[in-house]
Amino acid sequence: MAAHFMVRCPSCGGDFPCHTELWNAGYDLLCPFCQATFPQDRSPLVVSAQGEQGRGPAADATAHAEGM
Amino acid sequence: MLDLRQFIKTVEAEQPDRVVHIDEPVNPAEFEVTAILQQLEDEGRYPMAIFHQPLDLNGEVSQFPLITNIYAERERCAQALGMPISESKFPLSLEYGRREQGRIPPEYITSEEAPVKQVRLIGEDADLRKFPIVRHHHMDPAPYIDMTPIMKDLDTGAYNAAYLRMMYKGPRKLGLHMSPRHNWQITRKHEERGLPTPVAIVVSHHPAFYLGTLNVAPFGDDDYEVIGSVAGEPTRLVPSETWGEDFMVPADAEIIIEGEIPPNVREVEGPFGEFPGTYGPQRLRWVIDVKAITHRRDAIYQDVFVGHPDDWIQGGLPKEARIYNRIKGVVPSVTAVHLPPSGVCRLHCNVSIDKKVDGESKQAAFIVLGEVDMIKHVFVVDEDVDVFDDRQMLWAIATRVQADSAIDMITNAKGNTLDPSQIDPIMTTKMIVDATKPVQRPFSERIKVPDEAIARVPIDRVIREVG
Repeated sequence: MAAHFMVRCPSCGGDFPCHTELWNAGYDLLCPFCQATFPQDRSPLVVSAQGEQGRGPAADATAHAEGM
Repeated sequence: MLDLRQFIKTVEAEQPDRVVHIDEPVNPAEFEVTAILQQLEDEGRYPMAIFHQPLDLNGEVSQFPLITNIYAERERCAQALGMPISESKFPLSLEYGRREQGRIPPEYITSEEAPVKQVRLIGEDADLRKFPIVRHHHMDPAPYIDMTPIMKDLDTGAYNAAYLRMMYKGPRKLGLHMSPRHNWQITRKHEERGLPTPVAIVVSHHPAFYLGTLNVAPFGDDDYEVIGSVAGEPTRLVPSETWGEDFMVPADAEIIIEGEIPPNVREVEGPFGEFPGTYGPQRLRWVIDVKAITHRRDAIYQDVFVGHPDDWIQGGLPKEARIYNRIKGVVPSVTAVHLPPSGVCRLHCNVSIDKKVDGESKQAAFIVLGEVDMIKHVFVVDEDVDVFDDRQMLWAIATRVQADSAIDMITNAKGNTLDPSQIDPIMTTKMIVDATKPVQRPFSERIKVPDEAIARVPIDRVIREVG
């Protein structure tokens, strides 16, 4: 199950996994802990499918998403 | 006719120590149902649990009691199919496989005769908040209904039922996750024609109905006919509220939610605690717009504790006979097949054979891997090892395996996207462990206390317990 990236909620700081189909897809992400919705680029920490840490879209998580 | 109440009475009569009742109010949407199940599981207990005062999504005591963990022990699965609990291991698997091959056409009754039509809530009156919907694990973003939506194929007219997860999104809205299997195929066909997909969610019914939905009949076979065969009697059907006779629904269900999947609409859904015991990620998934709810006057709401034995056993049991029958065609010495809970009843498969020729074990393992793509590791043992007993399986691996010659790996095979160990989203590495004794050379015999000595001094006669 490599095709997901981790995102940190800007409201509560909780980390949760998102499928790479959501990477910069224009949808607000839903925090499962506090129910906040936010665009990916508002996240204080994103860890790509390759383990690269960045803020918002800094890391390219889509590189391994082909074939899904 | 199938009635959940009758099943509960059977379990209480035959296995009273396998049912627990929770009388005080608990909040399923705040993890309190699964918190109780988890504590029982931590003690090694897997009873059927009935919550008599669960809270609904408005925070009030629901009119619906909640039943869960029904399938967490194979004995209850045997009872659901009318079999004695003494046959809940491989005989249950074989019986399921036999029934799955049959077809019993459904019976049609009127709405006035149908228990599930005793209460009908249409349009704005249909409100999901009245149900005690369960939020299972800490990263689930909302309560989930995790029972079986039914869909109808546009081309063949055949109905298909499958366990799918549905996220509460509002009083008349659910999110829906599907993998590319039969219901996904039906939805895709509707979307290609710009049509909404009708769906009837069977939220609660007799367990034989749900065990029947786990069949692996080919796409286009009508699941109502297979469910009837597995349950041993025709599935009684009644016209739906939303589509009338164009979409028939199970008349003896406890609760049915009717809705439509609008074409080409996707919203975020998840994460969700899934079968491997790990979370599946948040995704873009379908939604269901709820059109109607019907239920019995005294309906019981049902839930499955996904990612635990309640879920696992349902995933493994229906596959065991199918694999066994396929192996038997090539390796007649096969004696049993089991997908153990320790391998989440999907990723591991234990096979026992009465090996006559070296190489039979690997031949059997190849068939397992070809038959079920979810299975990742196959363990083949001799017939003196009980494939239902993890300690015996590990003993066989400990004493009959030399890793350099007994283990084979197959790379770049199709796996399961929810297996957290996979590096690739699709591809996985399979493993075959041959823990059988060699045929061609002498091998140390297993120790054994003589049977006649055991018969002479039965412990129920000779042992005096302290206290």
